[in-house]
Amino acid sequence: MKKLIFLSFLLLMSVGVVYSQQLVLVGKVIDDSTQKPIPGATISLEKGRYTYTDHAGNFKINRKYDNDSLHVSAVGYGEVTLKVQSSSPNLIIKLRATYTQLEDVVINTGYQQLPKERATGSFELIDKNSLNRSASADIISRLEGITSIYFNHATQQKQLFIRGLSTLNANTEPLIILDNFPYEGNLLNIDPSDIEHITLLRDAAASSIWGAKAGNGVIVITTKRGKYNQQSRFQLNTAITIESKPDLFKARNYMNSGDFIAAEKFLFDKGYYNADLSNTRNRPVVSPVVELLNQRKAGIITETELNNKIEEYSKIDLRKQYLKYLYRPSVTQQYNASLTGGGNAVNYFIGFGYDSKITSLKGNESYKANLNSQINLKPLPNLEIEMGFIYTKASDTYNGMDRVVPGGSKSFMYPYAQLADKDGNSLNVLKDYRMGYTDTAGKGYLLNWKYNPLEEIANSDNTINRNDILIKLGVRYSFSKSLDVEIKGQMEKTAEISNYYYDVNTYYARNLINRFTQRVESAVQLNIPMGGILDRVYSNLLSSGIRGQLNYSTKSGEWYQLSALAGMEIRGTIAEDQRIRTYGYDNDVLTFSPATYNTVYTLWDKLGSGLIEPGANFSYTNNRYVSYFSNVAFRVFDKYIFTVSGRKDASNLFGVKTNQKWNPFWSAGAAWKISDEKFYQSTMLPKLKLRASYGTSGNILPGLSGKPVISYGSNYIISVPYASAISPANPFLRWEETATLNVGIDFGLKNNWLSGSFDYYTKKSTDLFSYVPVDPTLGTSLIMLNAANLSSKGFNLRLNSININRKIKWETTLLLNHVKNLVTKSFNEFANKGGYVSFGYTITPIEGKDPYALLSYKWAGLDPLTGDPQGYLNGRISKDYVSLTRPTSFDQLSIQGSSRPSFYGNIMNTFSYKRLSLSVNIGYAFGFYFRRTALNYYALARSWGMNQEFAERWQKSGDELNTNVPSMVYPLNPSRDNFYNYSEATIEKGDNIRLRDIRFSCQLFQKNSKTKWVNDAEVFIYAQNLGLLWTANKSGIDPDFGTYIPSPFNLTIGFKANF
Amino acid sequence: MKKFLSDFTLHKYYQKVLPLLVLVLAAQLTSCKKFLDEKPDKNIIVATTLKDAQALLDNYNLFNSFYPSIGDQSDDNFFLNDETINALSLSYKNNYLWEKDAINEFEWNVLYEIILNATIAQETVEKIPKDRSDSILYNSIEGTAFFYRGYALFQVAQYYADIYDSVTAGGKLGIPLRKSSDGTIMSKRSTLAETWEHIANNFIKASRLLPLTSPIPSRPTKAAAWAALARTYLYMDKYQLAYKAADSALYLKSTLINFNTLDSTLANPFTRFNDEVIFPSTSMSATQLYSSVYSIDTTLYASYEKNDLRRVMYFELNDNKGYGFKANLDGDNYSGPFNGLAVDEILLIRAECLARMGAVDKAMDDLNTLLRSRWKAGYFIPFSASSPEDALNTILIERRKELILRGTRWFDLRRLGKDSKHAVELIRLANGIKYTLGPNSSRYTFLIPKQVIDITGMKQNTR
Repeated sequence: MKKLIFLSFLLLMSVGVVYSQQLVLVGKVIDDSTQKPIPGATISLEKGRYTYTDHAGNFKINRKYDNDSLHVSAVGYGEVTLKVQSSSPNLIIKLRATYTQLEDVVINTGYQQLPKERATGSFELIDKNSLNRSASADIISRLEGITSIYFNHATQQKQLFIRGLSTLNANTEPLIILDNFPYEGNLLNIDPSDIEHITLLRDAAASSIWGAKAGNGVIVITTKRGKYNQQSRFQLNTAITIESKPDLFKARNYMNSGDFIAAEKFLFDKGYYNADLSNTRNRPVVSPVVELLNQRKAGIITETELNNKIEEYSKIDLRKQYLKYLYRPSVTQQYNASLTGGGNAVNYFIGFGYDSKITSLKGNESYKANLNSQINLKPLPNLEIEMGFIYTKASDTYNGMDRVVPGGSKSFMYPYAQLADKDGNSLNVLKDYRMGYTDTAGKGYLLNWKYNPLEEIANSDNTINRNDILIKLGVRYSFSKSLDVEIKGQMEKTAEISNYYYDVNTYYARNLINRFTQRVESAVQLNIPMGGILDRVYSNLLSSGIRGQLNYSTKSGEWYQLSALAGMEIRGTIAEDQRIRTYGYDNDVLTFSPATYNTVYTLWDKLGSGLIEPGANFSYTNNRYVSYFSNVAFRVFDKYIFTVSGRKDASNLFGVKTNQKWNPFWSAGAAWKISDEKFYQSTMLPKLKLRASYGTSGNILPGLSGKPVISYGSNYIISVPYASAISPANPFLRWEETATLNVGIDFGLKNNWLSGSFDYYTKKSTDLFSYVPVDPTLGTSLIMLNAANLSSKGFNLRLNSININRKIKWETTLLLNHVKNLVTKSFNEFANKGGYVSFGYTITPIEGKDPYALLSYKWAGLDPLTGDPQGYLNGRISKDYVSLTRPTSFDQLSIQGSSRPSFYGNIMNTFSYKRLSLSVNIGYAFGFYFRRTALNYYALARSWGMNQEFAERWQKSGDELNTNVPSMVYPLNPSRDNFYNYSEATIEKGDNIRLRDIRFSCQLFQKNSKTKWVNDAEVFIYAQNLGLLWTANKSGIDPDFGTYIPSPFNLTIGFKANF
Repeated sequence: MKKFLSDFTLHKYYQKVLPLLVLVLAAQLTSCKKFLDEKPDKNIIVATTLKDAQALLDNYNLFNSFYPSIGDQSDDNFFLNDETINALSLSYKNNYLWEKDAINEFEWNVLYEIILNATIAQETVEKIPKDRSDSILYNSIEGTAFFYRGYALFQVAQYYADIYDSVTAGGKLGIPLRKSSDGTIMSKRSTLAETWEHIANNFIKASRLLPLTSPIPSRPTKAAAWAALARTYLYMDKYQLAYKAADSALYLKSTLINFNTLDSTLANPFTRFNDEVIFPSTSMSATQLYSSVYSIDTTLYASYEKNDLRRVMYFELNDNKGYGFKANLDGDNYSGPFNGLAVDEILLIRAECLARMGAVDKAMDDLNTLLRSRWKAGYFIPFSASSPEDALNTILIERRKELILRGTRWFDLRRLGKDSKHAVELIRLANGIKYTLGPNSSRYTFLIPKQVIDITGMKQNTR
């Protein structure tokens, strides 16, 4: 069908313009099953014009040639092309209903391509138009907001979830398939412009064929390929994205300089800094204000001098400095050109892509060039050979810094630091040691010991170069129409070299050399040779797989169709890492000098003692899989569809006993196209299909192995290798198993004004890897076993509606997803329930609770007299923070619910008028909570960990009515801070609605344009991350990003054209 | 359905092709086992060879640097100011103030991890047939395993079991001994007598199997086994046996570092694996054990004479205007306190045993041998004693002065508390509150981890 559409499309393109004679063709278009007329169907002639059917399905069209082809199409129906001759009588053209436009297309499971209407499982297909709506350089990011996948941004690395969680300790990411095999390389290697479509496999009937790695769902990426007998086409895609600097003012972990200085004064008066100020051993960092206060105390400066200086500091805002000197707007450029075409026996697709990205951190850049070719041959009518090749070369530079870290025990810089003076000259800032100490510590023997962040960025030389080659080869031989055999192989090799070169001018190198310098009478001895330090990491990944597969299909007229496949697959992935450090390295002449690693050196000025780090590390892992799989689909009258699939996996990760057992993954599914039944006469709901499936899939935890008991390592104190017992042998170690029941319905209302699908599912994940506490006297206190269970249920709803279908067209797509997870069995329970209070980023496996449940200490408000936080201990208000933070039962904690939304989705409205199109995507997430970062006085004093809440702290009686932020007290009390930080007072509701993106596009040439050299061309503007429209929390925090700064606004201007 | 079947019968070439495919698949099936035998990670293997067993025992981080420092955290060699006490984490603070609910669970876990690793090494060796050509290596590995088991159990017994008294030990609870790596055997507490006997036996076996010297300084030798045995018997009050063991150890190794050759200006005057060390091991560091944080007991510091070089080699003024200890025998002040075996301690054990056995002169000879190496050359006047009691008193005072932050003071407080002549009551002051720890207090014994009690049901210590 697809080919047909395409051919007719091509034919339409080459419209003739010569009129010879006028012939009239008359006909009627009717529905194949209901025999009712179809109004509004498009009738077009290959060599002529086009028209529409009237309300009674009749049409009349003038034609110029005797022999022509007539193309008939209508929304919600399959297309038809037929030959017409001069003698053609009145035509009755029957169109066959399809449920939705989407279902015309073919889905790819990685093992087979099949029309979606024949599926019994829950598939979600994202075609290239949807994929190209957004402009991210990373293909997976483009799925956000247009699919049922939930993207979690609250963790440093965004996480993807298809239908919630099905594991506790193993990988939570879906399996990613590129064409036919799991993709292990860097996802940035895949150029989005080269992608034809993506299929999500959500339930067991869809994914169980992927077996032991499919438990989290599967994302199948299908690359573009040529088609036989197709004209050559050249396509060009370009896009430029500009992203604003991140809004540092949205970060809560900051205090303005005045507040910070107030806190420092408070602590100084209490004597908190005395130890640091008198420390002559390791010379800890002391902030400039504390230095001033100390100088005032010693009478070195006057009160006025002190106040003037503090006044000056109070005006500085480090965030402005950061934005000015560390950040810039980021610019991403994407270019892709491709050529595709085909003859009788060969077709090809060749794509070339080039991306460059100037990252928002000054000093960070990345480049990528990508060549993708796919050539298919048919040397014999029943033999097809496929050859694919993807080469990627990428280079990333990471010299930027997102903030300045003072070092020592301080993780954040005081807010009145200055990176450059008024004239823009870079300045030294506090680093690792007290400022005054590094002025004179060297006594003329050492390298400059100052830290200048802006110079450091300029001197840094950190690059990662990546080469990736992926080769695909496939042979398919057809013995007959019904039987063919195919062998497919794929090999991918990634070679990555990371260079972290610390030039001798970098602080990193100077500091290390200085520390390891020793005074020997009147001279010095360098224990780290003078020169740069080079860390070089070689990472190699080789993954290969080969698959043999038999495909069989047969049919007997109308009444049944059978298609089956079976095969075997072998896969292996070798990952190898080598890390080497070289001291005294000179990048210009490639020389180095050795250092001695096993001597304990006294550091300069007795700052401490230590060993020189050898910095070498080697690792080698080899994961192997052998799998057998089969899939059978049986269709009766094309109305009743039954599918069965099975798969057996063995792996060198599993225990021996597991590999020996025949314990396959399987699925069974059925579908009933009710609307195809003769008795079905509904005109309200002309398209209706029911689906149901049940089956299993798995998940594994790489790095865990059923066999080994000891692990080798290197030691440089004694120069011999060592080993340690890591886990007892576990011959029963096996994959985690997830059983999914899915019930679905696909429907289309009259004239398809409303269509969509609804899938309800329940999942039971069993044998989940879980740490089980054992008697520590055995030598280990926790053992990872297949011990826990998890259940989830939810639904995925997709609705498409055509609200207005005139000159102005208005379409709406609604996605609504619901998911609820529950831990049904868990062994790992800490005695101290304080171990379960969290930010909700980690999984808290408590039986009977949501795995992402947010637990908090119960909050009883602030003490009106002191501003102390109060909790409940045995039902009474208490300030015993030690006991409050070590609860012994869950009753002492309150549970707010999940930190993951139970309802989320999107509403996308698309308006089109002539060549213009505007779409607006609004996202929403409901039913979840998050914990905001809160003020911790202990962290403030110790590591300068700030929080803007300081300004709202309790200061006098009565404040407790307006604030929950405790008073500042001395001595500092970490338990008190901890109690407040993880209490109910810092929990916020997460519900929010956001304007995800807006896209405006303009078709420069119409698809049927007469311009020969260009088929169609489009320019578009795409704006993303437009901010929250509504949020339940009053603190102005974007709940989807938790403690991180929300993704900044970005704007893309793009152009694409087909020639 | 008919057609479905006929497809197979009509086309002849299926009959040729299908068996071929089946054959190919079958061939792959048989090679699968081999394919799947590949190790998933090169660093990870099943222990089967002597090399594996040796590597297990060469785990320096576990066997040589991961012992408890609970005793050092709790003993009377140092004190903290209120500011420091208030800043301590709860577990350190509870140890310092001898609180009832002091929790030291991690230490138990690590000690038994040491025992498990040693046991696996021993079981690995025992499965390998003994070959004449490698019997030295074989014995050395087995001996090392015995040594480490005894060494770790000694620590467990000192922290998690009652103070040993030969009269009552048969009726008191000791510790689980874990003689096998089999995790299905339930742990249970042996009697205190069995515990100490088992510890001594491990060292006796080790002393027979271990080599005289080792090319790798972290591995135990025969001398280490004897030294550990001397230590064990000392805490069992078996002075004659302790004397014999100490004597055997000193026969093999008796080098003392002359402090006159050391440089007091160095951050640490010692180097790692120095000549005086018989077996190197350190304990876990703790906030209150960094020399800049605490102050050495002022009376203790004052007890070092002017010409006693330990005064300058051991101590330096710190930020609290008190004295910190800077002479970790491990050579690295950032390691936890040294708690290994060294010639000085063994010499002191021999001296003490001799004094207790009535051999005053020999006892004082040993003490003077040690002190001569500690004093400024030419200034040392040998100590003398008028009676065994006098000798014992002097030796015990010098023992305390020599072994600073060596993990022994807490154990000494435990054993000497039984003898009213040497028993002391410890006093701490914190935020104006006075804390005391009397001799033989149940606070000298720590709580067994709750997880152990919960799972095995064994009896908890009273504290």
